[in-house]
Amino acid sequence: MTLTNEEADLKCMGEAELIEIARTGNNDAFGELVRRYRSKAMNWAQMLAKDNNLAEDIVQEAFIKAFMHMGTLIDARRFQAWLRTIVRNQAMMDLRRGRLYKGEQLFSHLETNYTSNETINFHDIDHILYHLTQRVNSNIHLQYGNPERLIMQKEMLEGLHDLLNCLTKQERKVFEAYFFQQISPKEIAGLFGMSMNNIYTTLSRSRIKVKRERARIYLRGYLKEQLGQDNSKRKVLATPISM
Amino acid sequence: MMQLNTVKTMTSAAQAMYAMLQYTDKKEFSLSEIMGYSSHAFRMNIHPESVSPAGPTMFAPYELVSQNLKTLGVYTLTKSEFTPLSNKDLADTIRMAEARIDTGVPIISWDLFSPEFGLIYGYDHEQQVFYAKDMKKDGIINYSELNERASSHLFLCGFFESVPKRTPIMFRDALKKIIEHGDCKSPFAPYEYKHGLAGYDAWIQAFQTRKIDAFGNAYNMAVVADARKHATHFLTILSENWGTSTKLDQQVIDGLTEAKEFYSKVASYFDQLGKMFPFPQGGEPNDLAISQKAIELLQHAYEWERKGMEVFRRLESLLEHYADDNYMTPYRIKRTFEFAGVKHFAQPDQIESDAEKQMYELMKRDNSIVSRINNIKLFAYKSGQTGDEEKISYVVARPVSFKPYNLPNDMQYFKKEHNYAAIRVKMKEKKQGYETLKNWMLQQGIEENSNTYTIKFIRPPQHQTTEEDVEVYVPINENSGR
Repeated sequence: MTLTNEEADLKCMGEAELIEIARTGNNDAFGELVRRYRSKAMNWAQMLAKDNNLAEDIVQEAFIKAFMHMGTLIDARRFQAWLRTIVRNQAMMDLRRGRLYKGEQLFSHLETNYTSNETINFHDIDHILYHLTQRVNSNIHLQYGNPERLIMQKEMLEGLHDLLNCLTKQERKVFEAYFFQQISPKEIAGLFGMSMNNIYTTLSRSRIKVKRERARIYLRGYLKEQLGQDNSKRKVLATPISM
Repeated sequence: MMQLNTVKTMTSAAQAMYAMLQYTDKKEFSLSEIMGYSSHAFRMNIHPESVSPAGPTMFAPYELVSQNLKTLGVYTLTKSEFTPLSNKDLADTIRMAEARIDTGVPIISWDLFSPEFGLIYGYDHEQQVFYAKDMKKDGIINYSELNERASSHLFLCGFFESVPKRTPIMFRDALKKIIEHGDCKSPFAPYEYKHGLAGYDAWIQAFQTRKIDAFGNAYNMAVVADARKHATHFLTILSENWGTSTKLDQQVIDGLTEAKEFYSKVASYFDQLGKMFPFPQGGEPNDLAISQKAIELLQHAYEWERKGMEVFRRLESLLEHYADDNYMTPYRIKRTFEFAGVKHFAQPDQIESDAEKQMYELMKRDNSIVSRINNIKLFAYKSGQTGDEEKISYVVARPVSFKPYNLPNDMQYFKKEHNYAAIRVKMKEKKQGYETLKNWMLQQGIEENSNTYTIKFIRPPQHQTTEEDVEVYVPINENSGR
């Protein structure tokens, strides 16, 4: 939305001052407070109405494919034990109706503080793997999803982490190249519902305004074209009752 | 008796639902009933230090709105995305919004003019604006502004269909959500905050630490006080209108009467607390004497709410004995399905596993289907002969809001308008559902039309302990049957 001067000022205000203004009944201050608290606390990726676990599955598969590929290039004997576990876990996870996973309990003692993650570098494999692990831990903590499946996923990710650490520098480069062939950093970011704008830049307010204005003008023409023969269609329902 | 506002609540999610339902066949529900059925009358979400004002809405909007509307028998199509969207996505979103508003029902959205829920009730493609209203304002939003959301998140919950549901079934589904929340098991909950009964502990902890945000505390007090008043009224309405035909009915009424008393006590404690910490000014929550008094009142309220939850658990078990007409009950319907996906072939004995695998593959790349509806899966089956073999051709697809453009070469768009014999079942009762439907068709003398697709429509579960809903639509000859 286009910010008024007052709204822009609120964005720069400290929390204590904002609270004082909110206490006088200022709705905008209230709004700004809520937004700030929200962005601090929310596990953003989980807010989307998307298919559960699909994002993790896809990225995980890319890791596994990359390791399989490595296995054909190098002497995989030193990885064999891990590889076997990974292949076995992958096969078990494909089973739609999982049997009870013997002897395991939920990792309920793992209190992972999974907060908003605006600093993920989607070009960094370790970072991506770490992020996947966080998501699974978070799901386990919240008991969201099939428990057996979550544990298998967690084991799998730990195995992948160990394997990565065993690669030589050269092997790692090959691995990364193959991994990103499967799925690009931009796609990963999209799957996790995050934008690629991880770097905080201090653009001046006027530069942002100009940038936005140009984007809007382009958008207007683009939308008109996309809407095709419906581009002057209009429908307004009766005004809703008081909110 | 505490005053209850019967047309306004501080819980904007429920206010938006109430306002939206005025445009549907469910406009007769009172605000208290909506607060109750949607579980919002029984919620609380507290940060154990600040008691932040973001608490009440600190959940996924999909969970707060879309999933709770299902309790009332209202199905929606929801889009929940981070902004900025690409231009293509934005155009897609606008067309989805257009299609939803064309049903005659406004869209529930978030952060239109303030971080609350509100309605989008009109569109104008020529001006490229939406007409929107929330608690702050009734005004216009440019299409381009969808990409400039202050909270970087776009939520649109549009009407899809309304299905009749009996009171015991609505109440049963509501209780599942209410108990889930009470046990601090609501999905998409932020880590530091505590909800449900655990919210009381967090609140007391905040009063002990005394670093409370006075504004946030007053806001939460006002929201919860208002919510528990509606809770009491909701339970009163239920207990006074519950039909007394059977012993089971009487047991339910007894439970409702008990719960009503308990929640009325909770409401009166929050009424007192609300006076101590008036919104928005807030009072002095960090004052030692005042905080001690607050702790005392919260402890009393907790005791009564805990008793209320126990009654709800008992009631939930009782309600399982009521027949759910929405499941395993065949019916006829004329419907149009629009979907896009990929066509495959399989042998009859392999179709189940093949189709699941292909659906998974589709979901990995369904970004390329503009106007797809996420998290609903659609299968279409048609049996046929190719030479000597019997093969089934099937489509794995996503339902779409409008005809997609730029589909990849292997994907197709389908639009099927037909008369169907239909049934809704839980995933694990799929086989039984097919049989029940086939037997019913036989009894009714309804003929299947095997020249077109049988459609299987799969919706995600309403909460964690249940399964997906499967709806099966078998195409029929219009003039067959009684």
